[in-house]
Amino acid sequence: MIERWLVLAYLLVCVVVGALATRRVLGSADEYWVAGRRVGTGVNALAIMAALASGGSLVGVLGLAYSGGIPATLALFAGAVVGFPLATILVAAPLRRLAKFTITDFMVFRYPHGLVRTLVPLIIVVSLTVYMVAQMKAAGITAEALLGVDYGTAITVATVVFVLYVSFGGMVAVTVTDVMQGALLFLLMGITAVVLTVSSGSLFGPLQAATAASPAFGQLPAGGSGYLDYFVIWASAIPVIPHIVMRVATAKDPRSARLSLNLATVMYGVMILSAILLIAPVGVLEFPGLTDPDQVFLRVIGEHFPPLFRGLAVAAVLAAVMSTTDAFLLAVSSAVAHDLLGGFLARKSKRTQAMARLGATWLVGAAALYWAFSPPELLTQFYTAGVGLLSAGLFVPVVFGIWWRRANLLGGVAALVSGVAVYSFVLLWGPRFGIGAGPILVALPVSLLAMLAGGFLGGSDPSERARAVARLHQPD
Amino acid sequence: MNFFPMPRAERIALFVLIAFSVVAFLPVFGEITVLGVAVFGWLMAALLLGSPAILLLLLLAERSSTPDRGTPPGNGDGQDP
Repeated sequence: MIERWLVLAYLLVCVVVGALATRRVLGSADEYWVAGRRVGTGVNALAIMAALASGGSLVGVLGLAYSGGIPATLALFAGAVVGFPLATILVAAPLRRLAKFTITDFMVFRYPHGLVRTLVPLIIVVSLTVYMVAQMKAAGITAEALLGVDYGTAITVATVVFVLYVSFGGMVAVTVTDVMQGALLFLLMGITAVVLTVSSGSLFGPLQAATAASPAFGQLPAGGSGYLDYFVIWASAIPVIPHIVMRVATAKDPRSARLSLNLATVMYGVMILSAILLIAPVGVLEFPGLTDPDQVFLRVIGEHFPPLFRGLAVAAVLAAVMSTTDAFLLAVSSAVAHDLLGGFLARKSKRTQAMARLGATWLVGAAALYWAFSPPELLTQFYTAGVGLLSAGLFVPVVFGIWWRRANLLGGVAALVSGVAVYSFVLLWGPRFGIGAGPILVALPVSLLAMLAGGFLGGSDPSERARAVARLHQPD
Repeated sequence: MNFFPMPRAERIALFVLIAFSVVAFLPVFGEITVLGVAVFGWLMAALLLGSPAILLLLLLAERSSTPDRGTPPGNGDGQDP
């Protein structure tokens, strides 16, 4: 019973935060999409960590370690973590200096072409909506299992709550709620790891006992190489994934953006390592043979902690889901209201623009909710494919568009289109044509070749654009 | 190849990050175990915690006296740099 009250209180706080932020954000696109670019380093770091730590990072990481072993699980999560230093070095400061809102803004600034203006937001809408549906499904299943609320009611209530605070409170509400959610996640995982370690009397005692009892837990799965694909997908996606790019844009200056990215990742790394090396072994030892590996986290919590802490754990799972979903919802809404309709809305009144932003958020939320009622069975593969599509299309044109002086319109468009086309082709028909490598391992080199070919064969960019790109590398 | 210049420390960090990732995926590290876990797993753990920590230290070591303020708050609507 206490679990339900805690979750209800938490949802209510989220709505109140959204309501309080309304007055500040509805009159300004800058406030709505990037919180007026005033977010400090510590706050941004916690918000980034929360946005990165989805339901998969809390429940899924333990389930994956339990079923797939420690090394492969570490590889999957290390990919996302490596993406942050890459983002710090390659994109964070120039994108913050550009002072726009979205990754589409950069692509259109660098490669001003109708195809870029349309294709990039469409890829974002498709890939992130699929990811949102996966998160909502996780929230529904968790609430059903632990709170006794049926799946449909759970996802409807959760969706209405986060659509409310995102649509009315914009990035300000997302930041405040993400900070709360991030702190809750970090504390919960930290306390769990410390309590289990102290009660076992040794830091790596449970790990050694678990690998002795089940050697496969410490080894790579035989014949599998999927973890390399995942590693590359996430390492290349983070520098261009829209909700992280928007968080970069909220930072008060480029240095703060770079610091917060890495501070967030250190916290995330501590959390993931605690889960995999300290909590998962306890699950393997105490609950061998679980048919649903995703139950490990909740079974361990149920065995070792009192009801109040179990209530916090349920709230933390929902927080993990919502903090990722709200950031995605804002990113997808920006792809619709800012990237796709921005040119049209620029001629309208501020009130019409505010209503369009609000409407886009509700529309995207409603579409995701509708889909979440009957999600496809292979949802994990779908959303991984979606993120892969994003990085296949955007990584090369964004990174080379920032760093390579010869990058030009032809190269950028060619890299975008070839990355997306090759990724889709290999994903759908690769095995039929004898292509054994993962789609991302083929698509990224092809995208790079297209960029190089375009850069060497096409004409130079106008000097005005070249000067604007050069200014992205100059501290003010 | 005509690239924009990158600070030396960041160039080295980028190289080390990529080289470490490539080396970690060599098959040999999947076969040796330490504390029951494949060395590949420990390398991934080191990457998971070490890569952002090193970048963080690198950034903190940068002179904070160098102002780099980007665009002031509220000036971002549609303006090119």
